[in-house]
Amino acid sequence: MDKDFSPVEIKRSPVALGKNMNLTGSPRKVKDTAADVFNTLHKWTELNKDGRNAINEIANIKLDIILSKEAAIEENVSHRNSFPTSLEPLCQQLAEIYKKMEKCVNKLEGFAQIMEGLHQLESYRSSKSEETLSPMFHTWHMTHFVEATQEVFKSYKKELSLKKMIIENVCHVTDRNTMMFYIAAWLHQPYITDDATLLVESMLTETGHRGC
Amino acid sequence: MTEASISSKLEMLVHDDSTGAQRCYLGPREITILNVPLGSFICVVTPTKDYICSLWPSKVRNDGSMIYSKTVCRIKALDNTDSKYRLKPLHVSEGKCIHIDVVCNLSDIARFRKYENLNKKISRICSNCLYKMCVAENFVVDLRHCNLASLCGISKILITKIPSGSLVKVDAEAFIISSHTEIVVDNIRSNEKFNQVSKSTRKLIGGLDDLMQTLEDLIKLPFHHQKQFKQLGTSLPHGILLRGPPGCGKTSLVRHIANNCDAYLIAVNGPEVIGPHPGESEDNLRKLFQHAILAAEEGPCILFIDEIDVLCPKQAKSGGLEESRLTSQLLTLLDDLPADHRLIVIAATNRPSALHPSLRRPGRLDREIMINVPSMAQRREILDLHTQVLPLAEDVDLDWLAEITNGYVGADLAALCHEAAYLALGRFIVKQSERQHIHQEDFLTAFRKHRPSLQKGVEGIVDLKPVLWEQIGGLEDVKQKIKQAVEWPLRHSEAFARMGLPCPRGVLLYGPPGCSKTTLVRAAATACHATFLSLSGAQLYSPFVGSSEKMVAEVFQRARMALPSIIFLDEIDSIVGKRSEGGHRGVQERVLSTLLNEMDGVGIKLDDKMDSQHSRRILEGSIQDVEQHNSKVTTLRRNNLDILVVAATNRPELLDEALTRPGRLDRIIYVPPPDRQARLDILRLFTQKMPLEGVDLMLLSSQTEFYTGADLENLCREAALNALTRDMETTKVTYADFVKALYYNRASLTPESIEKYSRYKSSTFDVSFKIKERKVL
Amino acid sequence: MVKPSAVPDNASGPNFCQLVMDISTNEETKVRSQLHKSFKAVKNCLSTWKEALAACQQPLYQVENLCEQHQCCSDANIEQSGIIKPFPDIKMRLLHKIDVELEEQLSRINVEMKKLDNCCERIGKHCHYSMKSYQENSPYIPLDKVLEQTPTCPAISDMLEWLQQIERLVFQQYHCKKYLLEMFSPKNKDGTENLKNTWSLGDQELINTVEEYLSYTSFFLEEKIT
Repeated sequence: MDKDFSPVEIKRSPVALGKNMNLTGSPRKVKDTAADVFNTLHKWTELNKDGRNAINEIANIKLDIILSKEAAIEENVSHRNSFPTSLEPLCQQLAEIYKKMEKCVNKLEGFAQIMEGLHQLESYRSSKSEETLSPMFHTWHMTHFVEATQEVFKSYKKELSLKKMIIENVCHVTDRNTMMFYIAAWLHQPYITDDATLLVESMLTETGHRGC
Repeated sequence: MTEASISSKLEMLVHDDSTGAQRCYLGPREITILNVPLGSFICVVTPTKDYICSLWPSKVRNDGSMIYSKTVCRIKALDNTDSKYRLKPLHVSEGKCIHIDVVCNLSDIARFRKYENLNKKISRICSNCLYKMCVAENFVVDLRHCNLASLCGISKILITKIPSGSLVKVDAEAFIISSHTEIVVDNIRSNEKFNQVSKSTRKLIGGLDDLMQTLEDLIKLPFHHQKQFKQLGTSLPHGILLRGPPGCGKTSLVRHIANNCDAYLIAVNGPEVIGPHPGESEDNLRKLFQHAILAAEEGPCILFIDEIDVLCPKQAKSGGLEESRLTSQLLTLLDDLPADHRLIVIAATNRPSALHPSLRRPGRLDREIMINVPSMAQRREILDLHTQVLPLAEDVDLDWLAEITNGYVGADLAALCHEAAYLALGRFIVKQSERQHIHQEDFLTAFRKHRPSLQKGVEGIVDLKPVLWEQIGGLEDVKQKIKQAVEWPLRHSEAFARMGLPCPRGVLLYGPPGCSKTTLVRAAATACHATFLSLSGAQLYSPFVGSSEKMVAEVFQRARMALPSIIFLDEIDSIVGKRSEGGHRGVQERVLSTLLNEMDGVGIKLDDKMDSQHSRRILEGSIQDVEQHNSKVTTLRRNNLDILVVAATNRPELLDEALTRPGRLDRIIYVPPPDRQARLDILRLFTQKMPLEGVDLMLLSSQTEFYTGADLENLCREAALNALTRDMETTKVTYADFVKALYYNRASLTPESIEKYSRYKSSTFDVSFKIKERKVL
Repeated sequence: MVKPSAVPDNASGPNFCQLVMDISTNEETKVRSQLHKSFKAVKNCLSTWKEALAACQQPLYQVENLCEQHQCCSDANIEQSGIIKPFPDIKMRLLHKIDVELEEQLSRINVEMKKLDNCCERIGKHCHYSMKSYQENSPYIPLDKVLEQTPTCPAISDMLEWLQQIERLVFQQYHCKKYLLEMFSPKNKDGTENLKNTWSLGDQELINTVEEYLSYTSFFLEEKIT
């Protein structure tokens, strides 16, 4: 236990060098990557908003159809076509959004790889210099960064597959509850956990993007 | 502080404040009299209720009127009535602790039960609802206008107890609830039950004491001794079926018992449940049961379904799908009742035979209780109850009234008393007399006006014109015989019992037409106050196969319901003929066999049986014992409880022998054409109101050989008409008129026809009858 | 009902009111000055109240929306569609997300509730002070003085009654809202569908009543009572 809480000797913490110092080498790369991750996620959020609007419109059209269908069943009249042409542009829009989101996830994967690479580099370096691995900035070791980016990537990847499923299915919904379910699933992004969001925030704080 | 009597001029208005604030507005003069600061709490005392309000000046500042809110009120006990209106300032203090009962809707109670730490939550809600209100013990706070209370579903709060020492000031009469007041919720009661209890007046029912005891035990035991039941391992009774004719008090009995057992009663009429849409009826039924089960969680609950035969009919041949679904739903609901419930289902019907038999098997409505048409003693009790509040004159003879009101059920008797009271009232208003009493006369008039509801809508009931024995001339020995056959068994049953005589079951009157057979029966019915049902061939025959027999059976069933009763079959030869040898089976034969069965069959259909004492099942071997043991006890009643069939015919030879054998129409009485003396009596009767002049009735009677009673009546009428034809202004009927009438009106009998009857009279069975008759005499 | 007019009589405007003050006794002045303070407090509270209510609207709308989502999602029969296979835990996760969001909105409402509670308490206190002040001094003020009203100055009795009425209304209204929040559960369909309507039930009535009373006392409030 004691070992866990023993004071950490930070030998060459870049932050220790001062705020205005330009970083170089690995820390620099880490910091940039962290910023890139954040920006990508920001982009994702924007895309998600666009997607939400599109899905809302689809939902309005579909719910209309569902309602009239229910009425039609009661009145025994043949109902309208379940797939009016107005859905088509929206679906296309969604498909485009999906592509962009896919790109975002790819980027995230890239960042995770960069981190991984940096980690290997650092560990290689430390094994050479037989120096103990010290935190990159304040408290995080390189492994933390790798884990964080991995985690973020994984959750967004999962979320992306969900989005794909939603896009594929949203036009074929036959009842209101399921429709609402899809909308909510799109909006609330259940696979982007609070942990993932927290990790990104922490990473930003660690790298000094957010003042602490 | 002084009390202020409200001057008579003070106008009392109810303040319907939608905010539910307990205020009353008074004029400045009254405020000065009360001499307390504005905003203080005062008690508005009215004869029946007390209200607590805070005092404020009226908006228009006018004296002599008061507007008050009824939010906080207390219903006074009846014996504590103070007829004065008063305003009383109250000593008020802040209370530390009160105990309350919360009254809310049933559905909300169910919701409350789901809460964790229920009492704490509710007491906090109540504390907020009562915030800054002034209450005292036994007051009810009406929270109709309180938004918070209606949100939570609380409709009223009862202040049940204020523990002594919880008042800050000792002498305080009322206290204000603040946020520091501790509120203890004792009970959560349902609105429905609360209203029922507060509304219920103890309506007494008479004549059903033993029945009530049985029923009460059935209900109370499972309600109050659940543990013992569990120990014994018996399941609780599920349901009770009450049967009996309409109006005999099934519903009031259940209400009374609910009251006695402190059970919540949900009463519903069978037809109410049925809705027009498919599935709606079942849904209603389900909701009803859910409601009952909910209510049963609070305490004992009785679900009373009146006229259950509507919901659960015997599978009709036509096969109403709707009905069979309803039936199965009802059965399922009954079966699904929770095992440890405190709910009892009581169903009532007056046609138990129309019920689906599976409803009556054990586990569903497994107890059956029969309520009969009240007997004489019961009628007496019922009359006692109903006349308790009426000012009776001394000449009112309730015993006699009970005797003559045969076939009247409780409702009828109540109606009778009301009618009598109305009649008396009408008389008071006309006479302006001070002394208001209801006389026997009023009861009699009411009795004549009111027909027992049992006899309504029944085929064969006739409006009987009362005929007294004295109104029938002559035939003294026939009268005597009929009295003996009809009147004695009904009126002097105890004498019959003493002598070990069985009651005659049937009487056949025969004789030439027009000899007053029908009138004789009428007189007999008048004399003995029995239910009188008359059946004639014209009523009986219908184009539908089987309906004639059904009607006969129905008339007998009705007669059994309203014992003692007389069934009169006029012109019986046209109703039932002789069974022919030649295999031709007509309606008459079927009617005959029904009639024979009804009069003296193996037994009667159990469901039609209207005797409240369950007949002992006859077991082989034990039969003698039981019978002997019982016979002494019950003869008295049984004798009284029989149907007497009286038949009349002028063609006795056409009757089937089976009908005239002993045990059926065993008394056969010949009503002969009037002899001279009888004719004289008859003529005297008919000419009683005629102004005769120089008419020798003796002479006339000897001249009218072979004239029947009806002929003689006609003769008198003709004579009077002749007189009038002579001169419209005449006031005399003379002998000449009679002679003229005699000329035109020939006797309807001939020596041959008389001969025919006498021949019949002397045939074998009549002789045997005569011997029997001598024994009786 | 003769209520003091909110429009001043030109001939005897504030001056007449002043006249009443002049001839009033010391005790009466005490009561009036307390009432003056109390109605000032009511006036302040009313604006706070209104602001707080307005601030609740947005989160309430969100709550209602989220509840609908919650109900639809938990009712949705997604087992049938192929969605459950690749995402076995999606329903749970989604509901969790919605719940978190709901909590946030509710806490926003609770912040506003705190303000309402403060209003409630303040008005309650002032009502108490005023009643107390009147009751203590009532032996020294003749009844006709208590009932006296002029076009600009309502009678003391009326003002006391109004204060009580306001207190009652505000108390009820606050506790209704509190009860709604306490009993709130997204699973309870009946409770949530009409949440917004039930919530604002009686709000307008309260505001109208208080504003009516404030308008009766507007001239009185402009007075300087020493």
